Amino acid sequence: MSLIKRNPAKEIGFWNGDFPVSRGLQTLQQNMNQLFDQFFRGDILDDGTLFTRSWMPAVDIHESENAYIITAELPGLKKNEVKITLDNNIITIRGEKKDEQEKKTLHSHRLERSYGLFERSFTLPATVKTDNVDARFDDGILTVTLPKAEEAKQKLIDVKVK
Amino acid sequence: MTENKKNQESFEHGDSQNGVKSDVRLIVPPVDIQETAESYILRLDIPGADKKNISAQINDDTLSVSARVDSYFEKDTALFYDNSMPMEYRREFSLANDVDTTAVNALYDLGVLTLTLKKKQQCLPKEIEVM
Repeated sequence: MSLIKRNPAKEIGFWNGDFPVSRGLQTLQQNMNQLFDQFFRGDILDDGTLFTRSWMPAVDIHESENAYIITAELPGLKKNEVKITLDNNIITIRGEKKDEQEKKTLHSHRLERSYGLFERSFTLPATVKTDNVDARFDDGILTVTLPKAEEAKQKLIDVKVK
Repeated sequence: MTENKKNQESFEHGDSQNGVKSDVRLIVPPVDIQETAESYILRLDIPGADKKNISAQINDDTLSVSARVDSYFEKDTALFYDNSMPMEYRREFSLANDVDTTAVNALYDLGVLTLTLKKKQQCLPKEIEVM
């Protein structure tokens, strides 16, 4: 991922003879690239903490008549390696995927799968009944069902035409 | 043990190139390939699959893995705006010459497909005794 932002300050620096413009821009570009790479890898969590080895599992959020449903892809994790916490109206899913490398590995040809810590948080609408949250974990898919409060459910009203 | 790039490309872009509207989402599952003294171990992330919808085939020196995941939801979940498509996981690998294609073990657990490919007996390192 590459993104180069024009920085007038650096150009002024060049005119003052502080340092060559090419070098300044190069470092800036490197820094930006690093920042973007980290961001999209999920190294920076919502609260600003930086993890050296972390990943961001894919999450879908759906809405049904009676509930909001969060599904997260967490292949390779066991039930007890995932923690869900509910703080006021913020739901947080966190855990750690342990490295499963073979002890006797001679050579790793490919390592594309993600390991390490992860954390994802979502702000729930006020209309969720937080005391009745249900979570399931099957074949690497975490499904969290958040039932809606009565008043949030869709009501059908027949409007009579006079 | 290398990835079959040519085929990889064809199924990644094939549908759109032919102008055929696809009704599945093709996914290339991430893989870890590790080699030990006796075998190759492949681990593919295929979350949410049913064991019976996963297939692994060896044809000559090509290993093809495919799996279909229809939905993460129960059929009776009445979702608003569910535009999710069934997912089709596919990936092919060219096998090294030392793989014993008759001794392949496949295990699906926790959303991960683990394939263990044993090396041919005659290719294993041998201790030669010095007389």
